[in-house]
Amino acid sequence: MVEEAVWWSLADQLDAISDGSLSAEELAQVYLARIDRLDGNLASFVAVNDRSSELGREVDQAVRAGKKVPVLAGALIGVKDNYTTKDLPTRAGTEVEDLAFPNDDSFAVGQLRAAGAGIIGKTRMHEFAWGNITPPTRNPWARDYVPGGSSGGSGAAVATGLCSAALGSDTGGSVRIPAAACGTVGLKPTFGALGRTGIIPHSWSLDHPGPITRNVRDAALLMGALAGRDARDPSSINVSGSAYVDACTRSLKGSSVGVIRNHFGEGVVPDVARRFDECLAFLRDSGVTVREFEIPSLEYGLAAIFAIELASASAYHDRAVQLGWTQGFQPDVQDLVDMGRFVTAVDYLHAEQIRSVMCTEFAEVLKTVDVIASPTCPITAWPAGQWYVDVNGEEEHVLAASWRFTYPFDLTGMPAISVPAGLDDKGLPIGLQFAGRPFREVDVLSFAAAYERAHDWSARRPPGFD
Amino acid sequence: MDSLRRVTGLPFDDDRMKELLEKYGPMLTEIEKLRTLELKHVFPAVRFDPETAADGGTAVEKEE
Repeated sequence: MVEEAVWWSLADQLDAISDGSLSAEELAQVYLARIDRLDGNLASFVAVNDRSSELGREVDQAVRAGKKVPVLAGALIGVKDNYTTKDLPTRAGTEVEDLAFPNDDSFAVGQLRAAGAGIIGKTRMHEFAWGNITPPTRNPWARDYVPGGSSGGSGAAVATGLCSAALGSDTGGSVRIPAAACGTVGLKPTFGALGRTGIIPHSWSLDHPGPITRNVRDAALLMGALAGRDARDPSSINVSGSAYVDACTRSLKGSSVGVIRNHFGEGVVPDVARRFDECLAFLRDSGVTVREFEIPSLEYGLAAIFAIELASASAYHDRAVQLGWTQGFQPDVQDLVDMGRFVTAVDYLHAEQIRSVMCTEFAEVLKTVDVIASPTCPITAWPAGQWYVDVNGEEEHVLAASWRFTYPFDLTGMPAISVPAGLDDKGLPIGLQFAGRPFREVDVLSFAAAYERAHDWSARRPPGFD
Repeated sequence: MDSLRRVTGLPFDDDRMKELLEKYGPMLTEIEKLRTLELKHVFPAVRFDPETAADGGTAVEKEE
């Protein structure tokens, strides 16, 4: 039974641990054995916590003693390598030894530990979260394909049953893209809803922490545990963590969804487009009104995120550039960090202005519908080493294509979730995205959970990982 | 190239500067779209809060 528990939801694991029917120590041992057996090829972890079994034993002892255990007691969470941790090294995906990071728990890791969770290890990420390939991590569904990124290790580890759930971070789609590519759920909460102290910055006004999980309810559960005021993060808002799980059982009847026909309706590969149409049909059958809109400012969204992300990342790394340390970065990341200095201050401020326009236009749409639906990505995962994909007869750079539908919600700060929506003709996962009003995570969770309940995509396992 | 090095603060030789400019070209083409817009009535999505405490400040107490 313990071997099978790695495929259970986090919520089911916690229920079984708290009633004594599942040993947290044995679960930890199974996870560690699986990482040892399977991760050499998958490469989803960069560090593993050898104390995981000990943490589980402590939970088992508390349960046997009849003590009330915290809400996440016995959970073993994989944490992206840009969250600092007191007991595991943090490298943010870089091999540059001159760069050192604090040995303190990040706010999010502190929240997890306070809720009783253990950290099973640090998951691999694209260096400094500046890319969505995450080498050398492999896609669990097809080993020659990328897992997405930058939280690719978290997506791959959750998909293959190597941890109960994981944390990622999302600046242009880095939670939702690997979630979609690996067949898992990825939640990017509203900007400010989760504290960021101790997450190595990529772009201060775009970075969002978020969970990657086996199903929507687990994302809600982690959202509740992670929420809370982070006094050292100027963007942090104190949000309540109580309503997220309840939202996952809400009926959609009488609610409404918006579809943005410009930008989100363009350049989608046939398998993904077909699955999205099926999703809309499901929503209509569920009593949801589907309305169509256009957001004119999306024409300038890519310009805005280029200017903000390039300038911000280069500002963060500026001393490293001056000291020559960026020469030790991976070539793609080095280029992006070095070239951010070309963004002028005027261009940067224009980007922040169009961002305001974009927020206003999305807010107008969300006055008349509850959420906005789209595919998470217009493509599925692509072969490692391939830089261009065919999108309906036109070649598009994989990086440009993969984040096209995710970055708008980093610019606007709106909550957005990716939920598994089937496989393409190559057996690669497709993601469905719902985005909602700021601080209305309950809406995106309820839509994603309703879709998940009616389909079995989240329960499917990648081949070869039993 | 010396002027560009000074304006940008990038400490690279001519070859690296040219390589970066070439790679930046497609992104600049996108960013240039922003320059075609009249945005003077739009407040940028940045907020200054003088009361917000921030880590990493460089201010030091002045000695008497």
